[in-house]
Amino acid sequence: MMLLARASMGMIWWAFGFSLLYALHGLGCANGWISVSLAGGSLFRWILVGIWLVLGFGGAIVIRRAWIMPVGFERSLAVACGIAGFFGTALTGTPLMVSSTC
Amino acid sequence: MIVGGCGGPLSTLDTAGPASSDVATLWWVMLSGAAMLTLLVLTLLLLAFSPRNRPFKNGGRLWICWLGVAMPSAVLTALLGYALILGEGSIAEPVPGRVTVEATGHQWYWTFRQPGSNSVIATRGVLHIPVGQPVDVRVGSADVIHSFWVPRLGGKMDAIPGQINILRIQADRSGVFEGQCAEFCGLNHATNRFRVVAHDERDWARFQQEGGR
Amino acid sequence: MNALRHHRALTEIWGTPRGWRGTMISVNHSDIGKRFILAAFAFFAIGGVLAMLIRAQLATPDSAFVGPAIYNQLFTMHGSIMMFLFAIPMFEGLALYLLPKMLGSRDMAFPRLSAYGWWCYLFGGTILIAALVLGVAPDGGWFMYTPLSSKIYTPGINADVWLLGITFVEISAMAAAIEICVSILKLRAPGMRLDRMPPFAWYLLITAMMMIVAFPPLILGSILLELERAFDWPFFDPAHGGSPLLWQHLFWLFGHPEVYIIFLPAAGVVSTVLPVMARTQILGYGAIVAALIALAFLSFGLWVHHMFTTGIPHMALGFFSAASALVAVPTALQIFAWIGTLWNGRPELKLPMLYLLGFFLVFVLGGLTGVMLAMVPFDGQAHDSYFVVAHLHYVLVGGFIFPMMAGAYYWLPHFSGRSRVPRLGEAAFWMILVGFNLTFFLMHLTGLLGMPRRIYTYTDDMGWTWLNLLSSVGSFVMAFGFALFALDVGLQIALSRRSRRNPWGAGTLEWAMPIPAPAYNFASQPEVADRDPLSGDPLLALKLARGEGYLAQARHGWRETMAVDSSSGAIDHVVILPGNSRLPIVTAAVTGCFFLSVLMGYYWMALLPVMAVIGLGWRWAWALGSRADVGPMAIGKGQTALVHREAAGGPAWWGSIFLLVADSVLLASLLFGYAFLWVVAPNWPPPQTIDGGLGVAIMTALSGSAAVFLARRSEASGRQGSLGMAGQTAIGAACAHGASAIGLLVIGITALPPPSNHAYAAVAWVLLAYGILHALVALLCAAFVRARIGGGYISARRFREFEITRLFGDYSGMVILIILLCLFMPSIAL
Repeated sequence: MMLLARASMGMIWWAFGFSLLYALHGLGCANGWISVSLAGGSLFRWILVGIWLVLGFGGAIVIRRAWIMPVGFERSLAVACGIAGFFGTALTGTPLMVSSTC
Repeated sequence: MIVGGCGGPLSTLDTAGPASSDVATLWWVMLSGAAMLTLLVLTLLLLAFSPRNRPFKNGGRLWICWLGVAMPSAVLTALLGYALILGEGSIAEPVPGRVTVEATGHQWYWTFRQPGSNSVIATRGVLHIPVGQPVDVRVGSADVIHSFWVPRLGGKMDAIPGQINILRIQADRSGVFEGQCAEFCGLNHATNRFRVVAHDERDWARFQQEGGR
Repeated sequence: MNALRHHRALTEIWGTPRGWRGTMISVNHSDIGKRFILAAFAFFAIGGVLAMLIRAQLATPDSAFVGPAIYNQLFTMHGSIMMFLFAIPMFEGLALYLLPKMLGSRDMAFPRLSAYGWWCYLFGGTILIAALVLGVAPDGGWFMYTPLSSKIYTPGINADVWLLGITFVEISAMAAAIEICVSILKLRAPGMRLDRMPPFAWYLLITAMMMIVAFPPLILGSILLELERAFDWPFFDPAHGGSPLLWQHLFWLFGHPEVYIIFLPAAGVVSTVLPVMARTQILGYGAIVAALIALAFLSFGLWVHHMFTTGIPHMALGFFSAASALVAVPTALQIFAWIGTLWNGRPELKLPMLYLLGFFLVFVLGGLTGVMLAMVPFDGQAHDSYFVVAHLHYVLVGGFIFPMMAGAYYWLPHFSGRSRVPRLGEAAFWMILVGFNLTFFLMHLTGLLGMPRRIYTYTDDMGWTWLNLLSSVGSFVMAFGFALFALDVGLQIALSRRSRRNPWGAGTLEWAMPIPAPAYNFASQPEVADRDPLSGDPLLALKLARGEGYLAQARHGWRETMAVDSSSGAIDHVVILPGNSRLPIVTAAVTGCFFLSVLMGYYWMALLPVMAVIGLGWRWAWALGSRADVGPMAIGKGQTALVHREAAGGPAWWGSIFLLVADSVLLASLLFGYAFLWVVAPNWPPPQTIDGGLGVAIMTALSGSAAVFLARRSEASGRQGSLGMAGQTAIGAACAHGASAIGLLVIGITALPPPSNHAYAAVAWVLLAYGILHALVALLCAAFVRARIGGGYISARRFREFEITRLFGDYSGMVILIILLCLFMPSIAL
């Protein structure tokens, strides 16, 4: 059971980041956080993009931690899930760069 | 664009406005991509059954890394970018002076309200819009959830009690376009229909004066 | 002891008595699994007949075959039956039947729970079908959107039938999910490490874990909607601070993972059958497992793609659009791994393989249209049109029915012990494939030509006439194909000649036994050293029958099976499973009485079955355990192990953990609803919020914490053998739990506005009710432990019941703190 949890850390990180971005986006839109503008976009968008980058950095750390595990089934799973989670965070965050906020 | 067999009063492919023709283009692009991928998969599948030399025997890296992960990831990223940019273009940004109408779904009919030259014009079952300019439809509901859908002009927008959703439509030519409630709304959902009439400049001026009478 | 005498002794222990009595009391996984499969097929036939009525109605424009009132019931019931009464129970049945056999075990971890789940499914399904026959079936669509399903717009009991009937059936899904998780993690053959499990077990483990997280939101949604319908608690009413979108979020938070919950077990069948058909091993075992884990997580980030047209901001839609596209990658990985497997082997076009080819064609098309629908602008046009109808049937029929039929032909010899009738299966295949594609391929075009879903009729001038007629013709061809399949299976079971053992030359353990399978599966349990134990040792079945494995002795009438360490597969302990019992059917019947009383509106009378269920639950737990220590016990091969009640991490502990995970997802969904309404719904903030009650809240929190502390003291005393002290502190803990329950009730009565006042008050009351319920459960657990001490079931070796009590007590203490924080923080902060 703990093996599974360690092996899926990359996807757990993705799920955390995805929920965080979605929740912050909902809160921000409801409370009018887009009204402050900064550097060609709203402050709100830059904050979300910043969090996205931090999430990506965290995803890289997850991959690194998986990489140094002892060779075996658990490591293969952890590395694969780490990469999947990193790629997932990158792709599911792309609307931050393209779409209108609220 | 009318392609043989794709016509019809509610056809999403027989387009009459920019929103719907963008989506139709997206559809034809996705259809050709999907056809190629289907062909690829089926060919690989059938080849597995033919007696042959096996150039890729044990090719785990090829099957899983390249065909299984890299290829779909690349295709999907490109498609997603295209669709996000397309979707961004059809968002109803608030612009002063734009024609705005209120559409309200009922069990089982639609009512519309819009400013006229003299007073507010209210219509039932027919929505009047001008040709060649974007119209913001503020979609709401009087009872259950409905969905405002005029396929030849663009995608649908749900009419949800307690909130107003804004949909931007535009007709490129004058005429009558059929609309249909797209969200199941009870007993007579099937007959919950309406029409959109797009007027050219002269007719539109007259409509605003006379309120469609 | 020779093999035959051994067989008789084990059958005596594990078997089911003949006749009605046996039917009522059996808890054997093979019996229950087969019943699930048969019943699911019967419901599939009913759902299929409804589909044919739908197609008959739509075959021509302006048809007067049925009116809208009937038609709405038809499509609602078709969807609900296929989802809840066919697809999920069908794979549950297959899992119950196959898993222990594939894992080299003798039964599932909680046999009585499987039987209880079976009866709940049967009774719940019967309620739904009875409503259909009586003409009061649900008619609001299988998605039951509010406010159409609210009391004003659906005044009859139609919606209640859905909410209560489906929730009743969901009990069986939750039971199966918990049981599958624990069985796969714990009850495997010794030596079966996680990476030696057959792929099917991986697929089901991931599926069951997804179910544990996915079903609670639906159960919560159904409870909330039923509360709104019955007592006017306005969760979904925008005039009082509710939101119809909350229902959609809860429903699809379940509804989308559900699609993968249905697909994954069938994909597991593909991963099992396809390598055998190609006479090789699966390509990329590790990559497939990783893909499954990724799929499990991603599938929870897609639900909003069912809500692209509800006016949610484009950026939020973008997140979900991206996740929806992304989920295609792990699916594509599996497709290419399977094709690569075929390339690696020497595939033969036997009947199961033919159905797998059908699966590839249909499912790939469905997957591709799925990617199209994930694109927001295209979904704006295609959503709620026949394009979606086509897509979902391609995915579900392609991704579930075709692989399951491949599996049916593959495992039928195992069920029946017979080989199949030639030719009929091929004929059925071609009819189903051609009929299916004729019906649904055209629907893509019908949808693009603007035909919306769920309309009971259309006019000729829409241009849909020829498409609908051809679809209807195709659907009847397909229906005849399924009838032919049923006939084929019937003939095989009744008439065909006997099959030899392991007819396909497979390598997994379910074939290492005589067919049809004996009640105990394995006369002795194997030691596993690789992924295909039977390929490495073709004589394994014989050796096991001769008793050369673990637990070869039949002793004391015990149903013994091995439990292993969840990762390494090292021997952990021996589980003694409970035998046949009337408790499951009685408890399910009483549970049914609860649902029927609520359905009829006799709310006070519903308390009676609740009391009865509590009493039966007590008996359920009481029936286990022993008054004597056993100590290390011989398990064969010169080794010894403890029995589960004397060892750490037994099935009950793991089952409780998974139950509490599901429970906490329910709470999390409720808190999500609370936050969602607060942020998004109109008419907030509420006119009245919580007023006072802080003192009581502090007292409640303290007594909840005291209960947690006392339970720990009690356990510590119990472990040291001072049972008197342990009993007294358990009573103390029970009292403290009782005090917190009363405290929560007092807060509700004194400080909260009445629940029908505003969605805020309604949610707050549900939070309190949740806390009270858990405090009472913890109270019962503590009282139970006290009674067990008195009954002599606890000793310095047998103290594991303390651990379960502590789990439930800790959980209760924790949720009370969370609930109080959620109720009081906002009013303090504002």
